[in-house]
Amino acid sequence: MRIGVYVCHCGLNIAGVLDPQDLSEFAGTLPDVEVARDIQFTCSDTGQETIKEDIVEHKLDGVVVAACSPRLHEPTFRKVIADAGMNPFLLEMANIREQCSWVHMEEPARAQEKAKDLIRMAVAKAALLNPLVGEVMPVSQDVLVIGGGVAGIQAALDLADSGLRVYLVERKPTIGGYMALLTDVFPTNDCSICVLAPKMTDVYNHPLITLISYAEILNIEGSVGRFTVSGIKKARFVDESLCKGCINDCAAVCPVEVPDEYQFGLGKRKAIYMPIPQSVPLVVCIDPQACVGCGLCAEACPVDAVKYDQEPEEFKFDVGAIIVATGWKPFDPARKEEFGYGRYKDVITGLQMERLLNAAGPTRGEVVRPSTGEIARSIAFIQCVGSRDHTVGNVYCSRVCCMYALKNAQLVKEKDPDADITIHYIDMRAGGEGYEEFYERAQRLGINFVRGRVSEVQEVDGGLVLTYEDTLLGRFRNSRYDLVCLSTGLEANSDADVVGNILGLAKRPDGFFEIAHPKMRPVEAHIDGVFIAGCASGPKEIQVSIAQGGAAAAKALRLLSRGELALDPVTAMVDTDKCIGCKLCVEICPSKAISVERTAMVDEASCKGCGTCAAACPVDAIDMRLFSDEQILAQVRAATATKREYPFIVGFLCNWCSYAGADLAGTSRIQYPPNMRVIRVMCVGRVDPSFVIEALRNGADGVLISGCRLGECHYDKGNYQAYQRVQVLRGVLEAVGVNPKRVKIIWCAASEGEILAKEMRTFVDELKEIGSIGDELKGGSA
Amino acid sequence: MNEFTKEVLRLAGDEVKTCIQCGTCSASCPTAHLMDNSIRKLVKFVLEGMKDEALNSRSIWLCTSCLACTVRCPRGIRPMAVVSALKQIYEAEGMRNRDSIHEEIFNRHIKERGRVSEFFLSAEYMLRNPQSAAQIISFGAELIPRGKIDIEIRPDSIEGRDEVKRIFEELGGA
Amino acid sequence: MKLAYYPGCVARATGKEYEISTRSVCSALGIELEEIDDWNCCGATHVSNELVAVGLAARNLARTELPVMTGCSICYSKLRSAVLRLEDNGVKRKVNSVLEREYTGAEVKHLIEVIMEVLEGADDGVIASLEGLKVAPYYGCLLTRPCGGIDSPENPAVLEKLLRTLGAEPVDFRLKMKCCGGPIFMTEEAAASDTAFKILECAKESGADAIMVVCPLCHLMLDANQHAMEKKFGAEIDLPVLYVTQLTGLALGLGVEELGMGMNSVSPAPVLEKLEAARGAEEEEGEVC
Repeated sequence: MRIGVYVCHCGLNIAGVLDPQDLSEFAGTLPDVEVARDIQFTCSDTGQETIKEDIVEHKLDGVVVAACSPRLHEPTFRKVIADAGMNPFLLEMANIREQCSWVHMEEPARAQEKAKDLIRMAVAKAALLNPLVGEVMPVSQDVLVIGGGVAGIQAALDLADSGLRVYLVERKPTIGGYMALLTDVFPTNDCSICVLAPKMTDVYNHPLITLISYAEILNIEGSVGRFTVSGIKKARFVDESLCKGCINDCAAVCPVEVPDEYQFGLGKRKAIYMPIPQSVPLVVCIDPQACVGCGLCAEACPVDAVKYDQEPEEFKFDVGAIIVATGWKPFDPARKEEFGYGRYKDVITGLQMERLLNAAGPTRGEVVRPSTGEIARSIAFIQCVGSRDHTVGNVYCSRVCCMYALKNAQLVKEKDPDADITIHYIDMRAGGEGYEEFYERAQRLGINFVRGRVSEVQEVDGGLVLTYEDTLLGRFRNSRYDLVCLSTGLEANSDADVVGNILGLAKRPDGFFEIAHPKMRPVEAHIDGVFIAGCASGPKEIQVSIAQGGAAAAKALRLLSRGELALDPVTAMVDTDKCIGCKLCVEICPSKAISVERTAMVDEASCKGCGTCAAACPVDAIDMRLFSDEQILAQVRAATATKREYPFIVGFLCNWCSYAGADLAGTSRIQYPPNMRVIRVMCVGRVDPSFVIEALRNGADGVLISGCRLGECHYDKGNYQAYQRVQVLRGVLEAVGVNPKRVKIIWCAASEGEILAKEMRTFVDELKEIGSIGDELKGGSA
Repeated sequence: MNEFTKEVLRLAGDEVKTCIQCGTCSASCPTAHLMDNSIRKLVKFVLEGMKDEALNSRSIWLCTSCLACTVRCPRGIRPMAVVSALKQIYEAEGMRNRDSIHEEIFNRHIKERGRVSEFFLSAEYMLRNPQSAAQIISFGAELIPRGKIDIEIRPDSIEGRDEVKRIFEELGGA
Repeated sequence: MKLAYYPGCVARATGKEYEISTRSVCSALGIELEEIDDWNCCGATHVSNELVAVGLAARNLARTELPVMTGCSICYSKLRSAVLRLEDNGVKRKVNSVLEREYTGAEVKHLIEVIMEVLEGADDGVIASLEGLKVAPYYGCLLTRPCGGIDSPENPAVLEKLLRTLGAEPVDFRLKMKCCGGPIFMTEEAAASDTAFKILECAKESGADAIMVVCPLCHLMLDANQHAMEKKFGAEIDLPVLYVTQLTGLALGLGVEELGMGMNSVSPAPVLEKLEAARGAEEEEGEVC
């Protein structure tokens, strides 16, 4: 190897504490180093030119820059060496500014020793770097949108309007989702279907959208850029191309009546039916469970569209990206037995109230008591039914129930100003533009609010009696109402489990699909090329679902717009000779990038390079192209070559949080003892126990592993994996006579430089207490 | 958080901290309408460290231990366990009333003999709280002729009373 | 079927007729009861220290290998609560450190579960149907609490089902789940009576001929205390309160002595007369045919 080492002064930022000339002289003595220089500002044009000239002149095949954090200038120097004709992955940086000169300002001599170690480590790794080439892959520019609710509709329209072909797959006979069944919507009380129907029609008419309704997805294969989707379109027993949507002729003669699921059981429909008047496609459907096969509809149909022998049709197509907009399902309030839903006819759900209030609903907009058909004059709304409730396993707030109850209460009050309406709540939640104003409007209309969760509803003499404590007055009450409306919450749609399982989507404890980052990546799944929009990832208002549909479309467009994907070469690779096909890696991979036939295979388009699989592989058959076992072990050995500190610590910090946190300690000039030599890994899930053992065997007194805070891992759960491995390793160490407290695992966010510094100080003290590792090594066999 | 709050949380569970004061417990309570402070308020007293208010509430002694609150609490708190904790602290503080005297007798009888005899329980309670005499005697007059209460000379004990005593002494301190 | 029997303290005193009728019914149904050797009090609702309460229950449960059956709802709830708490290994370790026999796990059943199981399996278990009898099924509080026991703690139906199996008609009874106040009767008589009397009134309004109870404390409050409460509140109730085993025994054709019916405070005579009348009518009809 012929390595060039460049030690930066960074003005006085580095040179004010360290001696760069001494460092470059030291570097010159290291094996494989061809040339070593100290430079005032390495990132300046002059600095860059020096490196480029050396590469040519000395025929370098490795470059080490000892300067600032690689998180700052790694891209800069990769470009510099690439410009000089070298592979950009033959660069390694030694972070002697953020993690050395800025944090050990009071102890220049010890800092100088640390800087030497850091350079030795970087040179050791550089000697083992391989040229890597990122491949470019052509991709399909078509997109699959799963679910035709408002989020899916918005995503499909935005993509198609941008010129991409969209397949919109909906399992029901019509698109529109729950929004199509609501009456007016908050906070403006405008008609829901009036604003949605035009979008539904646009979907139908758009030349770039293929709408596949009444269909199920059965399989999805492949990965980002080249998914293959297959499924079936169920038989409607009606020819979609012939049906004119006139409905009256066929349904009028049908003798079978069943409860109408589109009225939530309040009304009836026929066995041949149009789901809703605004159905898209405007085609009837025969319910095979209800149909008696009498043939009357076929006779009545003027265009002979009824086809009793229609078979399900299979479909199959390729797409580059997938948007999951599978929505939600209503909580079943019969599970809260104390509220009497299902036992008492006049206890209804929020969705049933929507239908009662809807002019196209079963009562043409009259809010009646289902038991008698009389107008309900007194109505209670009970909030948080199935939400914020451990007894049914739903800890979360469903976010929309306060607002929809306020809205429905207003609509009733506007029709009947004398109606007696009370909302029983725990906390009214009206956060959103115009929402608090909406709450106030309800108060002004004369709607009562009682703070206190209703404990039970009982039917007494034909009325419904609610028992509750008015917690603001501290009084117990029994109040009687004509009608009780349960503000039922939103649950994860269990119908989406099939798609979730096929795609390998992660679920949160609340049952909804998990997004890649709770804040920064709101519409991305953990799987490359898969996006999530709307209530599939948790309860949301209509406006947020629409925003997410648009956002997911934009993300898919960004991914596919060039028609090709540049693949990051920092991926895992499998030694098929070693692999035993145990599938441990398949389970552990957060990106579902590994599959096993006989041996494991890594899909490089999907692999994010976290390295958890490499650490988990029981036979060391998986390695990383960068951050390889060999490279990291070389860093460990280089770090422990002289050990001019006591206690001596080797650290493994994850790139995204902890390494960034350590950099922040530097930029904030937070001082901590210079006892640690840091090895950067992409994720702490990469830390193989053999790295830790190697460090201890070579005389490190302690090993610190620091990852993202639990729940914040950039690769989903790499930090949990690391935690488990550390627990096991500690047991092993104890068994061989090494104090398990020598291995410490902590969590540190990118914003927590102070925490990292504090943990360092504590760990140094703890290790001093434990003592040098020397004695333990003699006794044990570690 | 004061020591009183910590002690209740230790006895009744840390989840008590997550109370949202929704009132489900008190609205489910069969004796709530007779209480000076509802069970919901007792929880608030506990969380605010208001020891005197909590321990002096008559409500503690009106709890029938029916568990309606516990079955329904949306936060998974066991409000009845809060009441039990308050009873224990009340007794540990050396406070006494007719209700705590009854508890004390009941517990002592189990601890010493393994079982409870309604006859001796009532007899001792009547001696310690003479105001209860009329009620107990009239109840006895109803039950004794029917052969449902035996007038015992000496209370029976089980053989494993030492084990039962250990249960009280070794588990009760924890 | 062979079960471990946990009578509970009250079975040996104010709940004697419950124990008498329990033994008679179980014997008639072929259920063999093996009383737990040297059992101790479950602590009822008066042991406030949770760990002690769990320890008391665990000592009883550890003394048998058989499923444990009890007729008292308080004992049932306490034993079941203990089983739930003992799922926590920390609690189990502590409790076992004091016990002479190690607790390893247990199954707890309420008497009515056992009766239902046998009756459902039998072809002709009921020989003298309780037809014509309207009964208010009183669950009380602890039969279904904590959750996970014999039936839903909010809207249970097991007693109604049992009554129908026996041929009786269960009436709709709004306060069937409200606590009787029994645990505080001794110390807080006013509150307990207030609570219990509401239940009696509600049962009366429901048009029942009798109340069915599954717990000796409920029985004490609603039966033994009924006359005193009638006096106190100045209202007549006069509603027989029968144990589940007494009603089951009648349906199995057992005699009133075997069912300890002479020990009830409110005379069960009207119930017996009504049943006799109904049976008489049936027989007459039979003769005509």
